Amino acid sequence: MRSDSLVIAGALVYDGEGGLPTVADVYVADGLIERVAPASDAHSGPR
Amino acid sequence: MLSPGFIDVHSHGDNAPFVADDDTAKILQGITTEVVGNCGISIGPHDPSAADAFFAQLPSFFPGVPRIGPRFADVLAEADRRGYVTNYAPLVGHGTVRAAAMSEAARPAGAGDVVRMRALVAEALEAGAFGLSTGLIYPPGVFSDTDELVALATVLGDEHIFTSHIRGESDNVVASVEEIVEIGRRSGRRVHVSQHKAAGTANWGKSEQTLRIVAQARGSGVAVTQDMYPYRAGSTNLSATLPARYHDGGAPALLERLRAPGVLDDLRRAIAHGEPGWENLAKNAGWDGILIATTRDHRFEGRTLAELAVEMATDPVEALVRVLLEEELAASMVAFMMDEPDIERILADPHTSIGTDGLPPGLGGKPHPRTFGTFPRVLGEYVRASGVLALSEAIRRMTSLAADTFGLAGRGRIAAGCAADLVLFDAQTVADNLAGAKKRPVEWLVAHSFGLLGGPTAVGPQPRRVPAPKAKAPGCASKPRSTWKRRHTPTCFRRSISPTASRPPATSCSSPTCRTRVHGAASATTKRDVCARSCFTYGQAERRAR
Ligand SMILES: [Zn+2]
Repeated sequence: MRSDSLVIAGALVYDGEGGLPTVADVYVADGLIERVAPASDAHSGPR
Repeated sequence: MLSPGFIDVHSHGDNAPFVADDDTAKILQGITTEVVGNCGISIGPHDPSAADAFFAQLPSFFPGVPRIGPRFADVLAEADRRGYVTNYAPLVGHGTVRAAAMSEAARPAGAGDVVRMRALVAEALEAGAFGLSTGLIYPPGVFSDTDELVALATVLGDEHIFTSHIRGESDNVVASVEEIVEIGRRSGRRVHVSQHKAAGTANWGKSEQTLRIVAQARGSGVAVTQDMYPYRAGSTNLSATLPARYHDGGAPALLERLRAPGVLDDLRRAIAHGEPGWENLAKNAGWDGILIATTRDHRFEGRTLAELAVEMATDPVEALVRVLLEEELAASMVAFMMDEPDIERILADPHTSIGTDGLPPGLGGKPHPRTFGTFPRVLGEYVRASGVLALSEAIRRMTSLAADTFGLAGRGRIAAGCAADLVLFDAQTVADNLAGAKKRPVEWLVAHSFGLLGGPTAVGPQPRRVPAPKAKAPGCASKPRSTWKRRHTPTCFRRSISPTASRPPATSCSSPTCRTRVHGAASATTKRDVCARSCFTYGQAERRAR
């Protein structure tokens, strides 16, 4: 996996803390979550 | 929906790095991290002067482990070298430590024994253990007293945890939970009740009392948590049905006793009337509630002891002894002992995390379906069907609560800097019963962005041993002392993780319905078949046990 790759777009994301989910894009780098960004309309990945 | 990868806080997959076929039972249900070494049982340390006996007995519970050095560090070094199926967070087992320090003698520990055990626990923590587990119904843990356990718990740091398969989960369940609270209070360490339950019809409903006890303890400053699996049946070694005194001296002495004249009458008496301090599993489950799950030769699997007794034209006690002797103790059982309202009550408690308690991989047979289905079952049965938990809360229990409880820094959350352990599943369809299912319970699964199951083909670093907890963990750290007070911890920060030993390249399972990525032999389809057989047998037995 290249640095900072988008692993999933537009997913309904439960962050594990017990709160409400958000629709987000998740980016990963070197085995770690790089950032979780609000879903951009450009993506239509699996949910 | 996307969730942090699930954390199995009660695994017995210690030998997963060593078995030839990867243990797909866990990844098929969305698990990316396993806490192993539970119930007082770990692969090391052992007494080097008794290595022959240790390695002769080891395969009956942990198949596939080669002869390795006596220290806990030796086990982890070899596991590191072979590589991991899921991320691996080991506990050191009190029973294993006790056997290494003072053999399997049925006696209280002397001062010298305690000194030796404390040194072994300290060495294991130094090597990377997350804490100390105990199994107080199993030999030799059953021979310990509370003072011994407190003395060992005080070796732990704030960042570690003391876990316990408590001394009694049936008639003695209340006193046994109180003992764990006492250990927490006297040692000042975090304590954890493994697979919290109330077993045996006479004890159904007692979870109300046990949960009240742990809640009061938390209120008074003792950090107590618990885990559970969502099934009416438990599962353990078949030899756990025998009174504690039978285990004095270990397996060879036990086999000797089972061959002695008068054993059947002695066992019939003991099981009918009970003995002080002994968890009488056969009485709790009844003979038609004890299903043989796995045996060395696989001959007796899938039948209850009541059924085997009819087949053998004898009584269930003799059937039990014959199975144990013919399989030389290498036999496990599924025992129906719990009640649904207790399961729901314990699950509803906000301090309950989830653990499969699945038996080690490589035993074959018809294992308890919890091994394959615990996490999907919580999501399918207790979130979607009965609504005991909200989805977001169930996910919290399977992820951040588990990480915080066990000190798994940087895991259990989807936030910048956390490990990219992720599972994608459909909350509308996720279900535990794989038998005949066209779909896997989860869509895809990645650990450190390394594809374990379907999903993104991109490959990141492979699963690894979780770095041991530090008193002051850097960056994306959990908050061990405060897990039971605070539900929310700050966003994770980035931290560095060293590269792992390499494994053979991943291949995909050839089955059209299973895209599991496996290393080495493609075992995923085999595992699914085993699961289907296992679930079918369990379902039949459960209907009969009702
Ligand atoms: Zn266990």
